[in-house]
Amino acid sequence: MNAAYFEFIRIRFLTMLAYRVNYYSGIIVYAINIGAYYFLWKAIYGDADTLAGFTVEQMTTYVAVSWMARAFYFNNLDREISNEIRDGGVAVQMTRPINYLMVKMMQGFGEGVFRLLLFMVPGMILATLLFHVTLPTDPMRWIVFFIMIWFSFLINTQFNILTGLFAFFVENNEGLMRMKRVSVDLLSGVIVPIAFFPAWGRAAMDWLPFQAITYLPSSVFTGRTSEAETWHALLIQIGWFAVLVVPIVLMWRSARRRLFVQGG
Amino acid sequence: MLAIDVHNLRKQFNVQKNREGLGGALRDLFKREYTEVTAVKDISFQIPQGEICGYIGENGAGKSTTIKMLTGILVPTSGHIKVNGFVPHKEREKFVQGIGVVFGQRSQLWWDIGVIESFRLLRKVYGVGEADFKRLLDELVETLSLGELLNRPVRKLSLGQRMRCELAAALLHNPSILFLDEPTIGLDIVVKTEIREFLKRINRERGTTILLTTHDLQDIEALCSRVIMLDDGRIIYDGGLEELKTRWGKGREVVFTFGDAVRADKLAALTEGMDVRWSRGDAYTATVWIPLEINVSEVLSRVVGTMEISDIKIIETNTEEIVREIYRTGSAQTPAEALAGGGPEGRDDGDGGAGERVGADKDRSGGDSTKPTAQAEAIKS
Repeated sequence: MNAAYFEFIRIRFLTMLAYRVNYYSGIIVYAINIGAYYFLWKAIYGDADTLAGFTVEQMTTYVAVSWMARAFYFNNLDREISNEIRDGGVAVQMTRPINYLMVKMMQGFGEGVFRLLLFMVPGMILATLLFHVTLPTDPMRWIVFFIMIWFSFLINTQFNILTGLFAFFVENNEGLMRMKRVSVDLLSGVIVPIAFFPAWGRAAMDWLPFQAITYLPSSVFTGRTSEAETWHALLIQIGWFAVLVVPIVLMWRSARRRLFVQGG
Repeated sequence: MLAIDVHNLRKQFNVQKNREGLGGALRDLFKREYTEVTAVKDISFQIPQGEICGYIGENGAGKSTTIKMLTGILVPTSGHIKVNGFVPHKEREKFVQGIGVVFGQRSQLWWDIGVIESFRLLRKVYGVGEADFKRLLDELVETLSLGELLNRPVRKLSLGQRMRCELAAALLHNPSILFLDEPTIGLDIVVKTEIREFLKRINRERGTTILLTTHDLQDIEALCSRVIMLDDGRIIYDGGLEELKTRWGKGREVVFTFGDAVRADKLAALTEGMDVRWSRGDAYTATVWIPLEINVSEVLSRVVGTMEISDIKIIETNTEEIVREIYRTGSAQTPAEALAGGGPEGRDDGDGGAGERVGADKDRSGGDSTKPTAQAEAIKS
């Protein structure tokens, strides 16, 4: 059984590899993104040494690391799920002895591993050569970072599944998916680190799950947190992961009751 | 044991109602109105193991909804289902191990990867052992001639090739029940025939129970011993195909080609006292219409004995015509029964000869109607 789920990771990885042009252009897109944010932040800093507790080097590293994390956790599961619901493909999946959402998650994971290894590693090498990115040397920090982006992946995927499943309840969830995408990028700290938010914004973010996706792992990795804060950050991630399981289960249950297969 | 056991099955959907105009659209934004649609209305039927059963009905009659409930995709509104001893939607993951499903209109194979990769994935999904898998796969590859397709990506297969692969995919875990939702849709006649042969073989060799929906009545004629006909969510006919034909067929036509030119009155004289109708083609051909209660062989014996005949063709009312007629009237009861039993809708035209036929129906067994055809073959050769 578990072998089957592992198989889904492998096959998604192979599928991604099958479209080579996507692959090459992906590397360039990531390098451009990191570059664009690098120059943008350089202009914002001007002569200042630090802004909101970030030095220029830390900011550069933060940008590079955030994109690296994003490469791993980002996936289009929301779109895939809602398309499958709308064209009825979900029905076929339901005739197999596997959990649909688990399969989706595994496929997302395969995609994440692919992006991380084949987009981000070359992208990062390119970025470190071009800009002043300083990566930590402490192996412990690397380990914690990888644990944390695993949770980033889980939480972001939970968001995607929730938005995707909305297709069961509304006729068109396109708007919802766009809103989710923009909010995750903005509120999770990819575009602007949460430290730059106004005080009320930061306070609000403390109560929302978005920071667990990018801001917390990137802060830990760039060395802006003490050891105690690091464990606290990890705890926040685990907490949100557990909390978000609840609406997914509820939604999936009620979706099965009202599953409305098109064309039938 | 029953493969499928269904009692008073019902499925209702809430369908969104779109109110008219801008005002309506605005009101819809805040408060939706729904209309309740009942797709399947309290149907009951039983299918024993090893049977091939056709499930037919017009578009929107509720066929796919039933199949989706039987396969555990949809949760019924009320009623009881037992398939293979399971309640499909309750123990879904365990239940689906024992069934195979093919939806003609959507692929269950993975679009981007090779066919064989899809098969291997399915092997792991169903937990089939390596040795069993190899044996089953070899068998399927041979009977469906998939050999050269295995390494192609699914998106590059033609529809016929894809459908053969879909069938193989549905059978890799050796299910005891196979559900087919329009398996031959859009296929050419050669592939259709191949698929029918294959299904018959699977049914014979593995004893697989098959339930299929289709719009192609030739599928039904080739495969099914039994037909369930659905209209507007209700079962309007459940029984043998032959029985349906004899109940609804209005008669048969025999086309004669004579060796010499014949006169119409001579032909009429031959069948004196029989309720048959002659119509002339050219000087050498004539067609006789024979109602169901008269045996074709009786007519033939009168004609064949006295005339020189070069060819005989017997045309039976085909199933398609019968089914079209039933769809049109919305009831599979013969008109007399409809009058007696108070069927949902009466026939809109009082077809003359049909009413008198009911008595003859009772003693006519299913196999009977094929006999005259065999006789005609003998005469020809």
